[in-house]
Amino acid sequence: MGDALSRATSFNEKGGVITMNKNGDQGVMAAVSGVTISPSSGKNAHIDVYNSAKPSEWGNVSSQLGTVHTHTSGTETIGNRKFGFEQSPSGQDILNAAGRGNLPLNNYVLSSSKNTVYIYNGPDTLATFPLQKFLSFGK
Amino acid sequence: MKKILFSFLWISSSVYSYDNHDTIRITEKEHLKDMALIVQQHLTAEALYLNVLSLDSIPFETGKLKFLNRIEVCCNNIRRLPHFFSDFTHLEVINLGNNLKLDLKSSFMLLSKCYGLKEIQLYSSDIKIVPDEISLLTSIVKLNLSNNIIKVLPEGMSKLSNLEELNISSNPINIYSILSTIKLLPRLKKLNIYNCKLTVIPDSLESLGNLEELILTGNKIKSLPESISYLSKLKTLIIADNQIEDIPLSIIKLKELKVLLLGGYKIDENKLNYIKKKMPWCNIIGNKI
Repeated sequence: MGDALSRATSFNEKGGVITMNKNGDQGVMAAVSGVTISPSSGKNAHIDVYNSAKPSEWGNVSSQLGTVHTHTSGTETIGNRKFGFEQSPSGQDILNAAGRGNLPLNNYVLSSSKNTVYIYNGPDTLATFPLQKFLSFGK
Repeated sequence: MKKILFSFLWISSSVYSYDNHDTIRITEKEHLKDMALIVQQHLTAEALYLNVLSLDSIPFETGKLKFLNRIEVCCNNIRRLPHFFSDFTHLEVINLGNNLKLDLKSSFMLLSKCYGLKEIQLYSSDIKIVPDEISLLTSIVKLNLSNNIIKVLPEGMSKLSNLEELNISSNPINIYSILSTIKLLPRLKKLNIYNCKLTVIPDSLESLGNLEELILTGNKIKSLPESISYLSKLKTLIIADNQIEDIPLSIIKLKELKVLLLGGYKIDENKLNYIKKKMPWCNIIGNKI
């Protein structure tokens, strides 16, 4: 997860689905990275967390626990204007979460530029959390 | 002398080897002024990255890079590809995504001369009409048209006889029209229709008999058609982030299906358990909503 975040300073999103495999081990089924987007273009960066980079690996998954994705921190300056992307969960993020059932771990957006983890479910953002603390769990 | 030293210092941090292939990657617009020098020193470069640089056109110096097999010029303001693109005979992958005013017709005509071209990225570019000239790109294997405003695909698409992967996600597609066009693609193995506001999947899905991976995530689909059972080569079916209330029993005919990813679902548990029992070869994953 830390690796995905360090690469989020580009212009695309990274992420996947938090899973438990048939041995009881937790992991993340990494999704195909979102496409590169210019913040000044007015287009949204996005990722389909279920579009797995290695879909055959779902064969060893017993359940989905939650989802996680980064919001890209890349910025673009044109003249005097600086462009960037929204860091909190988007309306689409919330909408997607609403259709995922009661995931034990909810859904997470990692924002390196705001140093924040947003924890959200269908209705709304539930909580925020300092990113560095989140990444240091278990260390 | 001072200027040359600066250039060399910069080149060492911006041009580097990647998988033993020479790659040119420019990340700051101000460095483009040294393009002639960079190109001269890396004439055998195989990959060129000029993404998010507010470029109006592709620098003419790049025409000397005859060995490029990958070009990424996404997230710029490029309107036309330069004529020398037809000389890129080694080109296999081009990322033209997020260029909002790109002339697709002339681009397709130029790229048709790149006989080894396998992949084109044309996402997030405000594309409403895909020109019929796309039919000239007969070598391509992978095409990404996601996040545009495409409703239908041109008839010429059916001539892309080598196309194996099509991403038409996040478009306001007419699914009936799209299926009638892509059913003529003989090698289509992976189809991504994520986030297209679909409420139904038509029975004509059955015509995509070579599909191995179908992604229908992020729509408003409540059920799958009985004809899903005709996709006999299907290995992965992802229908997460929908409103799935029912899946047909005919799905148990899919002997190659290894993964059925439901995400959240409202399917009757007894029926789902029955399907799971009848398909021990398939891992069915989801959470009841």
